[in-house]
Amino acid sequence: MRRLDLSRFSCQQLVELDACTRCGECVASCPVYTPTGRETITPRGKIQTWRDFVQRQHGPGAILGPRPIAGDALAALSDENYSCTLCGRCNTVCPVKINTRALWVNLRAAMVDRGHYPAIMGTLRDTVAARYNISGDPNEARLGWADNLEQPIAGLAQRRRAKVVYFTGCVAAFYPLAYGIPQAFSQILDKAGVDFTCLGGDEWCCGFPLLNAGMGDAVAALVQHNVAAVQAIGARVLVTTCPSCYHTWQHTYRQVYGQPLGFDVRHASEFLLALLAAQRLPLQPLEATITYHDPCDLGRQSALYDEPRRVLQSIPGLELVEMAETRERALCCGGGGDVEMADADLVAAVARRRLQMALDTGARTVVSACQQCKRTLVAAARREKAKVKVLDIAEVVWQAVSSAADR
Amino acid sequence: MDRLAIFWPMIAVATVVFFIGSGWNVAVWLQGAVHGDPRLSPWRKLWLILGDVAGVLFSRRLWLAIKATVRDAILHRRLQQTSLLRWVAHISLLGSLGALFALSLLTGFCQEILHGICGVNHPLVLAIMNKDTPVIALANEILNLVACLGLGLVVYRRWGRREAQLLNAAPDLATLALVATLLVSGYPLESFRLLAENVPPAQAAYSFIGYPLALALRPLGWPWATVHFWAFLFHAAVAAALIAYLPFSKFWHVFASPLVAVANTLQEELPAHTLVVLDDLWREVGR
Repeated sequence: MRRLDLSRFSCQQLVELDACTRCGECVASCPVYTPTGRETITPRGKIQTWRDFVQRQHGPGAILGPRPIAGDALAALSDENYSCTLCGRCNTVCPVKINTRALWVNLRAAMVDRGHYPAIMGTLRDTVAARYNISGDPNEARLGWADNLEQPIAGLAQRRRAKVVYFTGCVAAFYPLAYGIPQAFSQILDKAGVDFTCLGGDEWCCGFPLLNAGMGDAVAALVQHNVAAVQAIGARVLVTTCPSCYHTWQHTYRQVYGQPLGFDVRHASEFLLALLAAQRLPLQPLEATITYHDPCDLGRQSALYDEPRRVLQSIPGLELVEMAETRERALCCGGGGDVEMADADLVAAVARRRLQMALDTGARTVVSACQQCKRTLVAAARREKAKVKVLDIAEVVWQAVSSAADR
Repeated sequence: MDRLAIFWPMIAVATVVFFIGSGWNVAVWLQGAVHGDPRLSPWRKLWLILGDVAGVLFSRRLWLAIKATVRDAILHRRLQQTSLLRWVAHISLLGSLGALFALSLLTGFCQEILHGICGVNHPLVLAIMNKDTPVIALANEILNLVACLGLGLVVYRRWGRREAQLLNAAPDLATLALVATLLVSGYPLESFRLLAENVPPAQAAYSFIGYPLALALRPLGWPWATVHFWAFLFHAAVAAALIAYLPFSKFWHVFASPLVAVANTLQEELPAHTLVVLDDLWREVGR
């Protein structure tokens, strides 16, 4: 057996393995622990198992040579790690602030190196490599969601020059449950008079699902292509309704590209807030009580908590009530970490818990700012037969704008 | 036989084991990537890390680093926000244990180096060497008491409240057993010393737990010098075992955790990369 290769980890991450005191603060906060009850799936359990492997192979106990790791132990750890939604909630409760999310991703990468990963992740990698999106549909169909817009939008046709590029992301482009988000957001941009376009078939997957799968090596080509496509349009700003795309553009793209992108990257909630501040969006009252679900990649990973709330609070008549666990302590909807591909039942169990928290507020509309959160929560609401609407922030704003236009 | 003739070799062996274990742990750390490159030699990685540390020390981020060290590495703000009971237990036990260790180091340094080797007879050095100096006696007693209270809270959380999140694995219990033995054996040891050295009551009273215990033990009439000799060696052996075991135990986190807490706090506070100020966004993007 090959000795465990630690090169996928940073020096700091190897210190983090030793910094974990196994205090267990992360256990109760782990969204996949509650439905499974397995210690080995928790952040503490995974660190403990991995640290034990590292010690067996590299620690003082390996002075006479690496001690073996039991046959299926690596595969078992890999399974547990691929059941993580990568929500990062464990980081917010860790007394020593271990950067757990990055640790899980690199652990996945180490497992990929040793061939221990769900077969579906290999399919994902092949699909993205061949089709440039996660669904496997022809990439030219990226603007399929625009087909049933009431009025065609000039900005959607791939223009040669524009000040803003709207990066729709794979989920909104290819999964009908999320079509409403790009439809609403593009109409908002058009209504506000924003000089924008979409990349259409030139938009490739941002690479986030591959990064999550521990297959970050396959992302460089996607980064090069997408950056070149946006630069060719001369955009000043790239805006996206997908928090995962946003986080990837903000962080990974800068690292992989190795130099400044030459344009700014914003999430739709920030962009909407700016349009509202510039009084580009006339809003009519919407009488409703809503609750807001913080997407993990927008909140914990990108620290955008106030922007979406300020957008919602600017709509007259809308009452925002908060869930019991919110902002940095918000419970994940279950839709992250590519878990949906590996264990749909686990996602359903996590989503059910989050949906119940939303229902407990008394609100009958759950608003998020993420297409994957919307898909996951809508699916949960259907399964539970809950009388609740799940909307994206762009859809809510468009309701307020379009009702103004109707008058 | 002079008890120190056994004590110092014992501590020396423990210290050597400690440094070998620590070095090994650090060597494992250095197998990871530094500046994104895992292929660099360990020495090159160490050099780059020291460069990063110097970069913080000689920059405006120094203040942030100091704040992070005090707030996150020493005072454990997040732990205090999460669980007050656990924070009190942690601070009491580890804080007092650390302070006791520092006091022991200072005493040893004054006794063996300044006085023993360099021949310094400054009153301050002599006062620190003397265990019956009121401040030293009080400090030892109070710190040990606080550490014992912290230990009591740890025991209470594990076996009283039986908090579900706590694991009672063998390595955890071994560490706890060593710490408990070290702390609890401190008071009888002090009593035996007071009895063996016939310390006058006016001085001995500063050992506010050791002295009453000595008064209670005195009627036994044991050969206190011999009892003290063996009790001292037992206490020292436990301390040496703890020192030697530290790099291989859960206690190693006392070095790793502060490094991680400070490093991650510094990374959290890096400024965001933005080109367009949101207030000016419309000017940038309007048709």
